[in-house]
Amino acid sequence: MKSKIYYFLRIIKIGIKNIFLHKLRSFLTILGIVFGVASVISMLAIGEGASYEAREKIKELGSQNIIIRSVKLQEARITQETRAFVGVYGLVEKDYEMIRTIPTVEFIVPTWEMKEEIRYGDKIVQGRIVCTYPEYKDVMNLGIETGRFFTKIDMELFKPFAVIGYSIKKSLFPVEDPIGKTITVRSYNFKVIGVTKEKGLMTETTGFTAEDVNFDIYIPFTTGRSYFGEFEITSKQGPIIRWERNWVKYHRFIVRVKDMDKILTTSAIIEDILKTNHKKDDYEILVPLQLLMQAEHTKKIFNIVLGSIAAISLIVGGIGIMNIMLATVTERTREIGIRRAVGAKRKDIINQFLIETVILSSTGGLIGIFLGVLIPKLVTKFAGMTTIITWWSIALSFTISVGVGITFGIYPARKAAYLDPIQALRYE
Amino acid sequence: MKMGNDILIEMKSVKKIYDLGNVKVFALKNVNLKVKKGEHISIMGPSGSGKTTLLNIIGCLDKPTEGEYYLDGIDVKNLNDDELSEIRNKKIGFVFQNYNLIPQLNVIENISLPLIYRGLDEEEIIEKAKYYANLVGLGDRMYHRPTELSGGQQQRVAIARALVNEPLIILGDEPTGNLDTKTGKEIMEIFKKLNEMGRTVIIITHDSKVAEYGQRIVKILDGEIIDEK
Repeated sequence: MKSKIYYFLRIIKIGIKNIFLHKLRSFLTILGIVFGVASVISMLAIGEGASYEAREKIKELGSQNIIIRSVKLQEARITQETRAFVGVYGLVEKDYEMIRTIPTVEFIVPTWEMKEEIRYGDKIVQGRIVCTYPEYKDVMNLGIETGRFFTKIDMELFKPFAVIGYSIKKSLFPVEDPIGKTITVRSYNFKVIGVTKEKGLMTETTGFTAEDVNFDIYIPFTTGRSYFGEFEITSKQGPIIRWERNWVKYHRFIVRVKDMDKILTTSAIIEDILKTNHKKDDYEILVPLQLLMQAEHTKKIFNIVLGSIAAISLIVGGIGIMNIMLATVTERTREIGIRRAVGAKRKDIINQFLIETVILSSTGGLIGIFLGVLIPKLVTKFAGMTTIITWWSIALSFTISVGVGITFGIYPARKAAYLDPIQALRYE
Repeated sequence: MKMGNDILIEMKSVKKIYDLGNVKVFALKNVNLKVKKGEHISIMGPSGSGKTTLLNIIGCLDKPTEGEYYLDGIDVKNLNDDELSEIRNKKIGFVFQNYNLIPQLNVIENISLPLIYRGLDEEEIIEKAKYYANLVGLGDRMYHRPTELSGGQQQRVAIARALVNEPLIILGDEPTGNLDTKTGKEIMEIFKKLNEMGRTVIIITHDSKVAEYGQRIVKILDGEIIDEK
């Protein structure tokens, strides 16, 4: 056993010696493997980072949720030119009642929203007022930084309470403690009772438009309704500022489904309900789970494309190594003859050349891993993209580079082993 | 199948035929040869006479096409490649005309080559290789490369390599062919000494002066032994 170890150590030592004998040639030989491995690891890291970001965003929407949004139609805006017109769009009471009674629906949280200036003292910040139910905190996975979210009782009592987003807090209360302070929206005063934790931005990767929830402020639905009513008033920029008025009952429903398996069927039922209730397409259904599945699918395709590119570059690298090893065998024909004459078996010759090839390819693999780890770090630093280097991608590409060595080393090694020792000895 | 204790090599009507497609070349026609343990034999013949083929067969690098060959009682004809390799490793020590050292390896590494394939431990390998390097008078050149040595010194390395596994037979294929007369003599003195120490030595040569070191000279011509004395 001990002698076997020495036997292999000696072969490895000789292999390294031979590789260093032709430094430039060996280096050029392994370049294919180096770039192959480096590209596999770094591209996987970038891909993994992107899909991680996408999945996180989707998860933030809640994979057990179905989100229904009111959509203002293009058509409504055109009719707005007639000034006095009041637009009507979006989700209505009937939708709410019907969706609520679907057996697979655990509960439904409605919202009514508006963009408005929020003031504290002489500070003003533009935010989104979200009038909603206390369950909103749970379905949207809102964390509480300080204070609390409003409760059912607060809602029943029409309390003028507000929970403000992280960015609102930073703008209005850079140093002060916001809890208990009074902020003003239009002419109404609200008492700040809580601040939500900072949340990541939803980017285009999720298929949504960017929405910074850190600029949200949450108030009880009942309070909002009694203060602001059901009219959405927005200003329209142009040569003359125009005011647009739309009657919107609800802006969003967040539907929590009891069972994950029932999400797709539930969303189909909801779609049917909305189709019968609405003549126009003034709503939009988002199923985060479906988006998640799409993201996974995209990732799978990405991985297949990547895998093919990597496979091709590694095969090319392997052929390069085989080419050089064949040349090496011819160069060292005499040596092979000598070794055979003093008692080397074919197996010994195969071991020697195979190990040498594997040393070459795995050295290429190691350099490739080094580059493959470095490149994503640089991408993160200079392009600001999230990259995730997975251990399995390193393990996989190293295994592959060893595998390439074995695969493409077998033929040259066998060629060496099956040389006729007599002729090999006389080779000049 | 032992052929008696003191007979090391026994060849009975050995033939070697190379089939070159439509032409058959009879390298050895009918060779009968017996070598006892401890003998020093010279095989003489002009080039093309078949003496190298004979040496290859004796050294188990090649197998006879026809006839029987027993080495130390072993029927060589029925051995496979691995078994032949093992015999070459343990029972034969080759010394070639052009030394056949591996240029990348130093003296010690060259000498220890047969020991590696025998699967010995590192310490034992180094110890033995050093011992034989000293024996052939290269104790102060152990870490030199072959290219840094003279022809005579290289041939000493080759002899040490041939000896390191304590083989039954030392086979020399024109071992003095590339050396000047004086160095050639020194090398032949080493073979003589080895023979006196009890090793069987078989030398192929076309130089009659070298052949005279042998107790017996076997002359070969056109693939046949024509004279033995």
